[in-house]
Formats: sequence, C-alpha cells, structure tokens
Amino acid sequence: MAPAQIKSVSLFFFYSLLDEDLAEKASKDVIDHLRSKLKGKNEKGPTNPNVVLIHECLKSYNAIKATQPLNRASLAQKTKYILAPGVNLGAWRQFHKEAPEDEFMAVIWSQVVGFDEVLISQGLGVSEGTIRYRVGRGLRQLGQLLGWGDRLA
Amino acid sequence: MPKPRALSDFLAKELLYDYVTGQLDEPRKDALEKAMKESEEVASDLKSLREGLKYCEALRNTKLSEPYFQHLSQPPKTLRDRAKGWHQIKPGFRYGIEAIIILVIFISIGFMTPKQYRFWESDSGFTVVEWKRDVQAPELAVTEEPQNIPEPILTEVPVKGMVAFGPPTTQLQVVAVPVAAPEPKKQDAKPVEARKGEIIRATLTSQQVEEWTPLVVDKILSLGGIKAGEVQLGWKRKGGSYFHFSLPEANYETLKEYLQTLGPVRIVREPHPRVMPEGTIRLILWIEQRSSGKKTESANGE
Repeated sequence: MAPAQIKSVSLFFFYSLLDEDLAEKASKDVIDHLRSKLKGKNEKGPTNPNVVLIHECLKSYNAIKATQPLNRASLAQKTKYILAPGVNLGAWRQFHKEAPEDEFMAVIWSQVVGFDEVLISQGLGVSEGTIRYRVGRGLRQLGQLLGWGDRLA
Repeated sequence: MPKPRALSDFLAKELLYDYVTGQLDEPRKDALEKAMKESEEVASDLKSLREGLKYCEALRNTKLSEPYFQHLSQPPKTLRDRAKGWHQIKPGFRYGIEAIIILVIFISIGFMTPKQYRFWESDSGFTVVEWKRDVQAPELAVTEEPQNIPEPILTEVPVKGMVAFGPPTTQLQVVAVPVAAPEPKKQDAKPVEARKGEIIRATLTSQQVEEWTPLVVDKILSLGGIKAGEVQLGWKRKGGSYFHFSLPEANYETLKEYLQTLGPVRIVREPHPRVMPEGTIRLILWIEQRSSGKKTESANGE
C-alpha cells in the first residue's frame, strides 16, 4: 500500500474515533485487510483503491461505533499522531458531538484526509453536489464552534 | 432585460462553499457578494467557513510518528506472531479455551470413529455388569437343594408331680423322634468355597442373519434354553441378532456343535459376578451381519 493511503486511513480513524489506541487498532486491521484485498481482482465492487479504502474504513468505523463509546479517551501525552503546532482538538471534539454524522464524514474525507469529491461521492454513494452541500454546512458549523472557543478563551 | 433576483440568505449560505472553492460562475458570484454586503449573517457564515477550512488544513498536516508509521506499514502478522500473542492471554482463560478445543476434538473423533472400533459402546445394555468382573461372588449366592429337616412331632403326655386335686392337666411336650437324617454330601465335608460365576460369549458372523435367527432360537428353546435379560431371544440390533439366555450345561456341547455347522464360532469365557445355579450356564450369542465389503475382501483373499 502507498504511504499516502496508510496516512489517509490512520488520519480518518484518528479524527473519527478520537482515541489513539482504538485508531491504531482499527487502522492496522483495515490496512492489513486492504493490502490483501487490493492484491486480488475485485470485479464486483469498486475498482478505485481509494474508493475501496473509503468503503472499508466506513465499514470498520460503523462496527466499532456499534460496540464502543467514542470521543471519551484522552488524547494527551500520546506520541503516535503529531499535531501541527497550536492545534487544539476541543473544537473538533465538539464538532464530533454536535454535527450530523453525514456532514462530519464529508468534512473528514474532504478536508482532513483530502480526498477528491468525486471519490468521496463514489465511496459514500451520494452525488458530488450532496458532498459539497454537506462539507459546506459542516465547515460553517465547525467555524462557528471555533469562533465560540475563541470568544470563551 | 429583467433585473436579476437577489439571493435569499438561505441560498447564499449554501453557495458559500462553492464561492470559497472558486466553483461559482460570475453572475452567481456577483449575486453572492451582493448578498454578503446586505446580510451580516451571510458574511458571518463566510467567516466561519473560512475558519473551518483553515482549521481542517491544520488537522490535515497531522503527521504520524515514524515508529507508528512503520508499524502500520508492516505486513500482517504471521501465524508464529499470532501464536506469540496467544501466549500473552491470561493463563486461566487460555487453558479454558484449550480445554474446550481438546474436548471438541475428542467428541469429533468419537463421532467419526467407525462403530466396530468404538470400545466404549458395548453390544448391549449389560455393560455395567461387565465392568465388575473382579467382584467376588458372595457365598449367599450359592444355591443348593433344600435339606429335608424333620418337623417336630407334638404328643400329649400327662404331667407328673403336679397338684393332686382338680382336673388332670395336660401339657404339650416336644419329643424328638429320630428320623433318618440325609447323609451329608461329600462336598459339604470340604471347606465351603464360593463358586465363581462366568458368562460364555459366542460370536458368529454371517450374511444370513435374517434366515438363521429363527432357527437358532428354535434350537436354543429345544435344548432347554431360557431367555435371560430383558430382550427376547434373537433380538435384532443394528448389525446382527442378539441372544442372551441360560442353558442346561449338559446341552452346551450340542448347541456348540450346532452353531459350528453354521460357521466358525468364536467363544470366550469371561468371569462374571452373577453365579448361576449348578448345572446351568449363561450365554450371550451374537450373530453379526457380515458386510458386503468384508465379503468382497474374503472373496479376493480366497
């Protein structure tokens, strides 16, 4: 697997699960699974590796979400993910709690992981316009949360 | 040319993302900019959206530590690696799982073993008795003919030296009358020794079990055989017929000769806790259905 794909998977799980240990386990499982899946020919499902990646990540995310409470672990003093200087995850946590899941997912894939909207629309099974609509709404909500944080600070 | 209609706040907000990412055409862009000037709410949302974008860009720059990236890049664990992980599980839990796996394997083997090799399944419901082969027969079990013990004879005799007046009284007195006692048997002279019981198991293999079973039943009955156990003589079980009976010992040789006319008979005498009356023996005869496979083998052997 390409390093960019490995990073995409791990970023997705880190920012969707908000738990380093859970993210590590889920990332490892999905990467191993993808490694074997992308080797063989997949005639039935999607052929683009990044679309397959989105499929597998969502499948794993839903399975974890069904069994474990998310957004509860502390991310302090962890060393696997090195955040950019000055980044505070408080707004992101709040966004994770408040935003509708489809908007949250659209923002992650589009703005955090950085996938193209065409790929995301294929991976999530919705139109590109819907993706743009969800991303726009999500970003506005996230920006408002950031503004409130600034005001509170 | 009609004047273009102004954008509502709702529509303006929905177009903000396309505006920021440069996907709006010129007329819409102009309309949106005009809407932003007129509505503070739209302008505020644009600001929020830009902040959100900036924040997400910072998140996108998150890096993975080198060891972590190496860990994720490694291929899946081999079987040996997984075995190492298995030994890291708590011993109690691990032993429990191992015990269950072993139990399942044994049960599976039990089900897969051909019936003739299932040593734990006996040919009848008498298995429990057979497990007690070493038990000594109790002396009470020895049965003998009841002896003729003479009954006392009651006679009426006058009592001497009793009171003179009054009516003569009578009293019953036991008088032993000598009766010729039976001579003690010579065996009785020897110290009593508990007889040990035994059972004779005879096995016969045939392809004509159906035809032979009634014939053998008739023969056993004609030789004075009596059904023992709970099932009738010639009870049909899977794979053959079963005869459990007692027989006068004198007729054993006759029966044996008869069975040998039907085929080779395998006879085994086994000690058994049940002691039969003298002159009587107990047998279990099993006429087994020979399978067609065996027949072929024997035919080839011949």
